[in-house]
Amino acid sequence: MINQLKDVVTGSAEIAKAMGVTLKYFFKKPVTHQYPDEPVEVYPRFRGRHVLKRYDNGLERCIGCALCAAACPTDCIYVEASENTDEKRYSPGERYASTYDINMLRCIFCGYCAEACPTEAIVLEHDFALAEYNRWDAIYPKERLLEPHDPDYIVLRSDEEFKLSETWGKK
Amino acid sequence: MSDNVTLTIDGVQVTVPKGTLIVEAAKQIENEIPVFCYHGKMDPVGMCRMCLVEVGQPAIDRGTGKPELDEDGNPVVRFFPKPMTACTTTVSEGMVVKVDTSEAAVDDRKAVLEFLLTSHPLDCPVCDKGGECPLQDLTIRHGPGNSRFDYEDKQHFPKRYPLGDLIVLDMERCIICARCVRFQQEIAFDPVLAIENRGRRAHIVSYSKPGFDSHYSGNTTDVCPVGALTTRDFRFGARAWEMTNVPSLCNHCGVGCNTVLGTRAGTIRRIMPRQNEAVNELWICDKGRFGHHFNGSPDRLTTPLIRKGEELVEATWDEALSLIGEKFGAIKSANGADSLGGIAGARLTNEDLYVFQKLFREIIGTNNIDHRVGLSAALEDETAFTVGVGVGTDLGSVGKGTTILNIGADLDQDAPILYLRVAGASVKRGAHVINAGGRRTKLDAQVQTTLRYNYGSAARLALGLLASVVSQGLVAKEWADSRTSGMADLEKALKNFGADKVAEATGLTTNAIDAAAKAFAEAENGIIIFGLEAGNDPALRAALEALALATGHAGKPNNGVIAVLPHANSRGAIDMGILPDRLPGYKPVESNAGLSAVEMLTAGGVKGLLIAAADPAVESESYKQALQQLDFLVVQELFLTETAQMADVVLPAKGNAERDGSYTNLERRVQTFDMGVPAPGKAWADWLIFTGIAGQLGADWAYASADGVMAEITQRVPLYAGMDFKNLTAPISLQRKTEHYIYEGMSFTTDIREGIQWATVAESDSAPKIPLRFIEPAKASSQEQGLTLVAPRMLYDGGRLLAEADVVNAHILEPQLMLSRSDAQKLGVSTGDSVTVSQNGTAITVPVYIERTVSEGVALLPRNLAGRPAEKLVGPNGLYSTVKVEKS
Amino acid sequence: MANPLLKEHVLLRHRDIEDIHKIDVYLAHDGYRALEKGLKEMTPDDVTNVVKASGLRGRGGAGFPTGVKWGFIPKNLNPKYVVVNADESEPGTFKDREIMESNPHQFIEGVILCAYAVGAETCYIYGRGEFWTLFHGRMQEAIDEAYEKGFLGKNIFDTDFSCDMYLHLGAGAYICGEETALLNSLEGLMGQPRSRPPFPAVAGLYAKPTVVNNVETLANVTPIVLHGADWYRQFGTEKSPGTKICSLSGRVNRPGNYEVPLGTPIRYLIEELGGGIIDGKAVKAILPAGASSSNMGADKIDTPMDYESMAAAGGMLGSASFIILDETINAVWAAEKNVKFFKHESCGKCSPCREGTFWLTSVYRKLREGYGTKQDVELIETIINQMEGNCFCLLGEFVVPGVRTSLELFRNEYESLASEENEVDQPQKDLIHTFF
Repeated sequence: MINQLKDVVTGSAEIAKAMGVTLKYFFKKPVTHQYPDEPVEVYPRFRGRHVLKRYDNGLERCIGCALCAAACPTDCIYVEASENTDEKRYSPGERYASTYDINMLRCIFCGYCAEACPTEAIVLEHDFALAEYNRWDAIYPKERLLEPHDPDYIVLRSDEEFKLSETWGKK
Repeated sequence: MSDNVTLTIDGVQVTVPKGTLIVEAAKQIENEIPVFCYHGKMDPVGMCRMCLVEVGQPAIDRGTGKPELDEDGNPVVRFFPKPMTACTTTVSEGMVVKVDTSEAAVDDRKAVLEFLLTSHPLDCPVCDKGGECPLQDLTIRHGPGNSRFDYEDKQHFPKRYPLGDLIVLDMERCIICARCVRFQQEIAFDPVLAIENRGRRAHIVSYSKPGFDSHYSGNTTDVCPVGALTTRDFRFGARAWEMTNVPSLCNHCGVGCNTVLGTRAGTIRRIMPRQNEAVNELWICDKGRFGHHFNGSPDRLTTPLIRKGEELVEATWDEALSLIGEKFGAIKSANGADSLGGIAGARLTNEDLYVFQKLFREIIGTNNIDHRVGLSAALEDETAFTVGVGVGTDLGSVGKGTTILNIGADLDQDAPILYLRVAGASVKRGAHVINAGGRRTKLDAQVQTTLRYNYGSAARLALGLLASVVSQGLVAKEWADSRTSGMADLEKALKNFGADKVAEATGLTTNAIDAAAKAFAEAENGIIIFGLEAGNDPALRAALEALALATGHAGKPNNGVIAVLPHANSRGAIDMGILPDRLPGYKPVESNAGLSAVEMLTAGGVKGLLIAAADPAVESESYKQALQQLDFLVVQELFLTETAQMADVVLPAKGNAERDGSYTNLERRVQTFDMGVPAPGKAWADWLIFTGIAGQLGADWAYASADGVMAEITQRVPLYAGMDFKNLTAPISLQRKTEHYIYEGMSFTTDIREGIQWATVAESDSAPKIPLRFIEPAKASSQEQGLTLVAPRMLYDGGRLLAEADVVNAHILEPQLMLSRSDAQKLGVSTGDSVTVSQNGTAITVPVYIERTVSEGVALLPRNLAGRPAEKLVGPNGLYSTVKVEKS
Repeated sequence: MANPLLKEHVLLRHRDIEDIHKIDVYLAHDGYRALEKGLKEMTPDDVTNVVKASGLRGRGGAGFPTGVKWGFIPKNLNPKYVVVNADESEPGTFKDREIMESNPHQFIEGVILCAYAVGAETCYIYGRGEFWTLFHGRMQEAIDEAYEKGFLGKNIFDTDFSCDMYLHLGAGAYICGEETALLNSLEGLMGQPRSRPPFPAVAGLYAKPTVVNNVETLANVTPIVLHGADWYRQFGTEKSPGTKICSLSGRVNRPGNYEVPLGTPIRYLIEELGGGIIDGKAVKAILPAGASSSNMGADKIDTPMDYESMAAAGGMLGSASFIILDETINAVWAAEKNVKFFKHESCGKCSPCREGTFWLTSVYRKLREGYGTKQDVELIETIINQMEGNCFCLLGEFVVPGVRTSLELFRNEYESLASEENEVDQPQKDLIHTFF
């Protein structure tokens, strides 16, 4: 009997403790995101999906030099270049990429392509939602890679937040 | 005193022949002196100043004339106060050269690079040369790390300045090394490029009409040390490092130029020459460079087709092959084996042709095979077997002491790289070239002797030369006695022939003939080249053979006869016995010789025909009718040609870039090529198709590869003994192992193969004596009134393969009749007017073009242009006819 | 015009004798007697030897002994050519022009004597494109007259010697004053220098032995042959005998050609003959050989004008075209003018000259326009160091001494133009973006 009573008391204490934790977190801000209903915040230097940039006048920055493909450690970029004509102009110089494919299944998001790019045309931006229903769809053609690409489910952390995160990693 | 000198380069001693340039001497010890304007094949100019080195010579005491010695007894070296260009300075005994060990020279080179880069746009990311660019590489190796030049001050010039319709100049990138200008002047002998203006405004121009009018223009892009010259074809085609370089051979003419297929993603992006000093050195012609587009054409046949009524419908290989087996079997059992026949074009490889003849001779059991349809028929040659040029012949090295006799070949059109080598031997190395022909050709400007004979008298000219050799007592007695037989008979025959009439028949003076005969007979080495326009005349071939034998110009390197045959493997086709009367290896067919192509293509000749890589239907109406009357026609082709459209079964074959195999070139050099790109659809290699047909007819051949076929050829054809792929593909050791592209302009690494020549009868001491043949030339053509119609071949032909190459389409002539100005005036026509050319009731209408190289009384109608107009008038076997030309 | 140093002019004889360009006047004053003497009394070797003995040195600039040069011509190679370099394009040089305009026969006679001495039968006179009126006027007339009188053509003076003379005009390129470029231009090729060896004496025009001499040099030959080597040696110094026409220009009161015996001090030329500096200003620098010479400071004004003394003073006699700068002239401006000239005239064959002159002009422009820096002054120095000794021909090398001495003497002027402000560390320019 005594023992049973003891169990009840300790059990209740445990429950109370557990409920205490629950209660504590009940009033705290939740850590989960309502993705995709709510946008996800990413750090500005987060390396996500590639985007092919444009100049302000709308011309493509990419000149089809294939240095990104040469730098790529997984060989996931395929570039074919062609010559601009005055009638059909894609980029400012003589040369543009007529084909620009990235195999996102192979890409390891190392960012070497962006580093190799002489015109800062290819940039690893922040989109991370790269799942596809079909493997072939994971090969992104130029049309998909080109700007604009601003998914509404991603927001950048502001600079203020960056400053707050100075303690990041220091406990 | 020996002909070698020893010098020290950066502390390393090297011994080289006298007269060597420092840069070449340094190459031998793998000391790479950087250069831009210097090119191993051209005269040095010392323009770019990149190769500055410090040069010192042992000081000579003026009093004693002996070298001065320092305290330790070493010779004192006096350095020149200024740096010297290593590319223009020749070596001398005891010379000391400092390349990397001299700080001054290192600084000078850095300075030159900084200077060059001040005007260079530095657009390497978009430059086609990027990755294989001497300027890039040398800048990284020798250049300054950064430039002090203000980028704002860069001068800008046109970046897309077409020099012609094939070559585009980027004036900004050009560093004025003049390699292209010098290539055109010194190697192509087409001085159509020049530098215009001076100082920073200097740039390359071409004022020829049409612009950059040369068959060799593409080579300038190879020798260009920067990306200034690009081909219209390959502009932005691929980056250098992305391409896989596959050793291949050009399949457009018989020279057998070694090429490299730059392939990427299963397509050919560019074709560049592959070094083979014995064949094409470092060059290829524009046809070879730009004529590869048929490989990737969307019109290629991809699957077998079987005729169902009027339609050709797609079928599987099994269906197609079993149908062929069934039909051929039925025809054979009903009408006998000789009712079947086969025609194989000389574009096929040795392996294909061997299996082809084996299929017909061993499985079907007939000798009805031939390769001479249309153009091929225009020239036969058996002289190569007896007196072909000796093994080891190198036209690129012959010079003083060599006489080259060219009869009736317009080398610039027929065999362009041979033209470069013959003209180079004449101009650069001092060989005596005698150019005999019926009209002025480009070679005339580069040779010492020109013999302009009347068309149709080439055989008489050859006999005249032979008679003159005999009468001048220039016969190489000892050699001729030991290796030939029938000299006395020949002399008698020549006497009866009446050598004195030669001058009259040929229109040449006796003196000219005697002088030419003397030049040829007395030369240390003698090479005879003969081509299409000399006529398909057994008398000519016998005379040339006898001429080579009588003068002793046979059986050794740099001596003998070269026939300029039309196709890539015409020589191989003869070697493989694709002739109704000859087995592989020039063995005559002992009995029941078969029908020739022309006989097979006459109505009622055969009932079933297999045509591979040939398109006779285009050439003549009568062929077309004959083909229509066949019971069964099988065509294997790359495209649905006119002949293929008439076939009962069409089989898709692989192009030469899509498979491996071997070709035998004009000089009997057997060379191999590799597979570069995948074939479209379900195409098979030709030998595999023949094997499949043979299988249906009961054979149990088990060739696994072209290699395997060649293995059998080496066993069964004695000429080809030892020529299995292992030997043929063995890379030769390059003399220069360093990155020679800085010197010569090709950066890729790929196999360099030399190929193997088979030996002629004259070269074997144990062979029986060669009979000297004499054949009486045919009577001169009847004295009909009219013009002599000559049908030369043009480099840019109107055939199906070249039609796919859009870049050169503008160079392919429309059919036209070329007349001399005086004849045109007589007829009252001028360029552009159309005329009716008629002979024996056949008439065609073509426009006239007044061409100053044509002599009076001659009309040129190129034979390999669209519609094959000339074939209709001169017939496939004849070369000339007298035609009536009227204004229409 | 009287010349106190010479009783009679040797070369500019028209200043003593009126109308000497007319053949009758010339004949009346010993005209073509030298030729007659040479052809009738002397062998070709004698002529060469007398020129050798006279110590005549090339007046085109290099100062190579003329007789020695003729001696290099191989005897057994025929044909040979005499080419006269009348492409007088050095800025500040106008002496040959005056000889040809006013005393052409003495020059023509010298050319024929030269042809006789070396065994040539064809002479070409290559003039700059701007000599159009001269070559189509007086020179051609003079040659026609000489033909008429039998001094040119077949069997001159009834000897075996025949000689033809042709005038050829260039298209106006400084580089064609370089002898191999001149030969190229004469052959109808592009006016670019050839690499040496072979030297023109062995393989020059049409790859045949060729003597290339300056107009003034050959004009000297006539009196030498006529009067003998000893007579000639009375003028000038031991190593540089003879007289020399000095073209004086720049900031002097009386610019013009002055014939003086070699060894006359520069001061005499400027102050006595040239009438001193305009407005009595001080001499700042002397360019003794046009644009291609080094700047000599005012302290060198007493240097005797002969080949050795000038070289010892850090200059060169060259073609003796003295350009005088006074203190009103900015040294940077003057140097830039010269560099621009060379940039315009560089033939473009070799990279150091083609790119170096181009680069120099852009740095000079930067300095002049006031946005240069101290580094730019050093850059000028490195550029000329990088050019020196590395160029194909002398055109590029001639840029160096002028710029170098200008920098040495007037560095303060360069540095006063270089602004400290411009030295702010500029961020690395985005090259690719500028370009694309």
